[in-house]
Amino acid sequence: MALLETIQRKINKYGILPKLVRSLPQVSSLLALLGVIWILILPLDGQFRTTYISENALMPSQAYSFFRESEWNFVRGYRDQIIEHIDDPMEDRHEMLSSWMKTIGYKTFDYRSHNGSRTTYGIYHVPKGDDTEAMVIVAPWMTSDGEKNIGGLALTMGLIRYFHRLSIWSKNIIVVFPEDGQDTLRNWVDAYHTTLDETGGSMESAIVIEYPSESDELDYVEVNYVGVNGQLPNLDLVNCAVMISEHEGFKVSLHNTPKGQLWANDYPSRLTTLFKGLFAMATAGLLPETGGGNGCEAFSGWNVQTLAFKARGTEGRDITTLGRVIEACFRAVNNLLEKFHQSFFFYLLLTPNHFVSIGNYLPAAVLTAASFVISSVSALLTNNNVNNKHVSFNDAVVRVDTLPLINGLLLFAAVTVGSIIFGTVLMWFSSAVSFADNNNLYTKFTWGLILTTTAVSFLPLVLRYKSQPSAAISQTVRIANACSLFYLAFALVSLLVLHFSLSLLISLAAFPLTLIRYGTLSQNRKNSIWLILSSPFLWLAVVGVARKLDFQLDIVRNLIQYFSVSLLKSELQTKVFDTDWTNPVFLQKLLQGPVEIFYGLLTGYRRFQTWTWMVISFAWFPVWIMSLIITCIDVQTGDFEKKKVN
Amino acid sequence: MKEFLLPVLLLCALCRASVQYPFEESLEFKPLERNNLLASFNFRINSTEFELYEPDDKTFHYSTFSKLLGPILRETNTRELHLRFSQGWYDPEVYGELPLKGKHSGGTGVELWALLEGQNEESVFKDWIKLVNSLSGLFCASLNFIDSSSTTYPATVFQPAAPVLDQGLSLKNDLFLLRSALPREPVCTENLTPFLKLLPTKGKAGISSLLTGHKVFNSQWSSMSIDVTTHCSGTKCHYEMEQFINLILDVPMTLERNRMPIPKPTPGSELKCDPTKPFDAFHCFPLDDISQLEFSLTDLFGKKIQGGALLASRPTKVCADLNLDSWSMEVQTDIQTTPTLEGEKTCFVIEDTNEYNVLFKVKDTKRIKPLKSPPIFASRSLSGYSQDSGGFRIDVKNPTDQDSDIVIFESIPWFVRIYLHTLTLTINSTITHIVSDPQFDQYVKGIIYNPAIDRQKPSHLELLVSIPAHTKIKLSLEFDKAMLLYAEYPPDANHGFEIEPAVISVLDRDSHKVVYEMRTTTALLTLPTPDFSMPYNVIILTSTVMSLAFGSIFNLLTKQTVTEEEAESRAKESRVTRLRFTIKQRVQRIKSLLRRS
Repeated sequence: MALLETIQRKINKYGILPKLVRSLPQVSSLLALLGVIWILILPLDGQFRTTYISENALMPSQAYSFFRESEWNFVRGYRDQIIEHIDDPMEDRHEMLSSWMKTIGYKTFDYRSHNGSRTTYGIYHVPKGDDTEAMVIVAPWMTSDGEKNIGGLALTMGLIRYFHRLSIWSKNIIVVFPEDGQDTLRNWVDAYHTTLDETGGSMESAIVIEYPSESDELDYVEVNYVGVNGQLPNLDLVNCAVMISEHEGFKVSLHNTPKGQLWANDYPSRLTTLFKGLFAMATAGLLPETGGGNGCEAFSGWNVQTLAFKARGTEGRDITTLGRVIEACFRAVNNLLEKFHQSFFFYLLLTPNHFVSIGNYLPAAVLTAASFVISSVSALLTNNNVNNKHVSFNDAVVRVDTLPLINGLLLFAAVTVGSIIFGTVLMWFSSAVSFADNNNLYTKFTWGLILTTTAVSFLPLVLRYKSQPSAAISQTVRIANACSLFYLAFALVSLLVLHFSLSLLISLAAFPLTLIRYGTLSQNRKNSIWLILSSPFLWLAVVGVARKLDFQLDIVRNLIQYFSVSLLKSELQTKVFDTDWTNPVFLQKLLQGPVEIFYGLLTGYRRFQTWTWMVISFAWFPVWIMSLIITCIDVQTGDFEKKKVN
Repeated sequence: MKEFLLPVLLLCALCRASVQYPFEESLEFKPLERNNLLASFNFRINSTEFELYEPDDKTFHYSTFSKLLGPILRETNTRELHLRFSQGWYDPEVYGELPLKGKHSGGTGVELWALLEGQNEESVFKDWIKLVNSLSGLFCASLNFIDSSSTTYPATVFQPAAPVLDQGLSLKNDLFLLRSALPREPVCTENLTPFLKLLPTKGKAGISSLLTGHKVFNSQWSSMSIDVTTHCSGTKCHYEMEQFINLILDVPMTLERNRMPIPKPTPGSELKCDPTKPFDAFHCFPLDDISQLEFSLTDLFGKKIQGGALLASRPTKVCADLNLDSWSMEVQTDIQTTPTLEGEKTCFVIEDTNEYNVLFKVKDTKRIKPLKSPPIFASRSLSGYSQDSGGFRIDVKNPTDQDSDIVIFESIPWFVRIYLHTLTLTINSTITHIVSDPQFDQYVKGIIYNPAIDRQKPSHLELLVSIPAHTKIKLSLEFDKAMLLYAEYPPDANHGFEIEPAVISVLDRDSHKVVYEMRTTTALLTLPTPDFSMPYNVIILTSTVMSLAFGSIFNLLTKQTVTEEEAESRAKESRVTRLRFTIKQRVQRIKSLLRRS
């Protein structure tokens, strides 16, 4: 206390306060920079931890698995039949699996989701359990890449037949065969928790299997774990899966890491995985109905720990090895007496075996969000008015008159409410107008929005009117500016614990908003750049196109880490020069990228309870519009010239 | 002495032949679908006669009736006692209706209801607690955890099986019916041993010699029941005890486990493949179709019947309800015994001490006597996912051609706060009525509801529902989850909380007596569970705030307020400043001295 007093006295004595106020914009930028640096520090040695199994009861890979030898024959037998009937009509295919499950002894049922596709599911009420908990195994007919999940279905059939022979189970086993691992599965999961007649108790865990190949072998497994709204499965389950896979000799890939990188464990590789993880979490659940979801999104929000195994490659270890991995995961979950609660629910994985816990990474988003708080204070304390540039700060005159205060607040409230209505109407629109039938409309609409927001960003350059010098205008603008920045800061701070990655990425993308200055129209040219850079729709376009181009961060990392001209040349050759950029089909595909993501955003809440669109349209977009309006207002006076003017 | 021994022995042998104890036992097998077999053990014991209100110091003879149980019943004025231990999931589609119309099967875990005589509710409740505590010790079950917060007083179901009142006896006090269930109790060998101890044969002879823990609890479904009723004529009364053990065994699985305890892969040469589909050394579409079986009691129970229960009033009887076209039963023992046909069943009796084994040979296991389908199908599920609220939904299907009246009995712990106004009824998944609709009353004829009192009483709900023929109804009910006190969480708080099974009884439409009874499965509910390191965080945070507050207040109390100028001038005069000044002067002097030199 005494120290604070001394400091305060010194500040008063030497008049530091005005200087401090004038340097607030720098402080704000510095905070954002620190946030980024914080993230960059995380993959450094000593900043992350090695994963470990926290729940002692799990005991992964402690039992010798007998899913081998002749069980392989059964998997092949099932696979032959699946290959034969894979192109049959939906009903026939499902009936076939249903009859197989009945023969084994599963109680089978079917569920029809409102989009017409069918989910067949079977429940094994285990003899020794108390029928209150269940473990779920899912094999969608269609993988997330749109391929036919032949190996996955066969393996699942082989596994559930084998599971029925074991007498170790204490939790029910539910096997689910949805048409796809996205909307159909999600509808089934929703129905299980709301309307289904036949249930097998509360789900503890779910494992999704994708193995599109007809081959007997696979190379490595990819583990997907990201759910919507920043929800992740308990780290213990991920650790179990990784540990078991490695125990069985599989390399584990996270976020589509290519095979060559699976052995890498250096700073750049960890950083790449970290970024990919951040991006995957922020964009989870934003997919059109046509596919792409890995199954984890479908269970998200229902308190079910979900993992998706995707088999990669067609040579290496045999298919029963993957079966043994899944069996060991089931055995581990089966060992649990309590629900998953020991380990972390919020984490960032750097490699399959290394993670950063929430306490270590959260400050990054806190710093970037704090940069908005500081810039909002800075705006309130007149820093953003370019007319004030050469006037030193004086706290006696920053007082705001009542009318401009009310006007500023009303202006901001109007813009926010307008944007919220805009967002909500679009959500309603997306539920009323189907994507498949009105693709053209959605395409026009999305690109219209992207182009419009980009075009209006240039308004400050184009506008040429002159307004009367008025302190009221300058005060109104000041209030509106400060208010909007504070609103965004508030939204980001409240989001950051729940959905760290979305909060961080939005605060970085919207950061240029803090650089916006207002004044006379001829003075602020840079604003247009900042507006374009911070536009949500520009980022929509970037993300959408990058997705369609199969952008891989690993390639960029490779180029930077092992820089050589020949490597760069060859990459450029394959990725840029060899691509036929003028091919209309290819262009059409590229243009569809943002459209699909936009549709995913709009329908995200309805289909997966994803809040991303709400965060964007309720928080980011109004602030962006507000900043645009501010830059379009001709503010002739500074805040300290009041006395001179009046 | 020797000359006396022979007549004495002879006399004893005669006595044994002539003295009959009120004890009967029988075993019945019934093949079910999908190669399952129901084994039903039944024991009946009567106590000797006694008078209901006899002084405490009077001695009693119990004969074959257990001396462990008798005093407990007398001490607590229990007139009827019903105890159930069950495990596993009963699949009515495969097993048909419950054995004995569900009268002797409980829900998962332990269930207990009793008819107690007493002057008022208070004294009866004391007796009830005494009863459950004594039974807890006797049956090695956590029955001692039964308290007022889990005890209900059923109104329409669980009614006394043999009403003492009907027998012309004037009771001194009123009768009270109390019920409780422990859905969390894992039923295990330790419950079976005391169960067998109640028998006069103690599991050493007769059919009870087949019962060993690791076989009984390896079954697909098992249920043990004890029912004690008091029967009186005039002033003389006696207890009648009926004990049932019903097991459903998956025969091929049991045989497989005997052959190979570890589920190793089938050797390639023994694979059974579907010949209609492509198969070779690598490909095999499994053919899980077992229709020919040969098994004996030793395969199923690991033991043979160790002779008959010779003290019983009737000889030990073993029956099987077989379709003789494809099933045959063969008795293997030292003396020639052939089973005879008694009505529908194939039976034989055991009247000696030889070991008996029964061999079943089946040509086609699918050909069994048709199973009776249950008059009702029901299941219960939990809805919702949130930490603060949720819902139950009960699906009931009436597959019969007649409308049926059922009673749904639910006892829900106090921390599940159900809202009766949210009760909705959906008929055939199409029409939905809320509780205030007039149509609702067409289906739900009556509601008995005793709301819960926190920490004292569970919610007790009985719904009288009338279901039209071939109709499926869904009743859903919403609830809020209460917060528990820190110490109220069990050690494994994150396991969740078991909600005991709902009991669904089908009533006879004329006599309103229960004709069939079934239970849904237990539901596992997650309550908001704190991280149990929370108190330490609170302590740390509070201490920090306290110390900060203390620091500033202490500062205020001890500091003197002066103007800034005064403070600065005083600072100049303070001893520390003067000392610093003197030291500085000295240092400078030394420096100048050094420089000069």
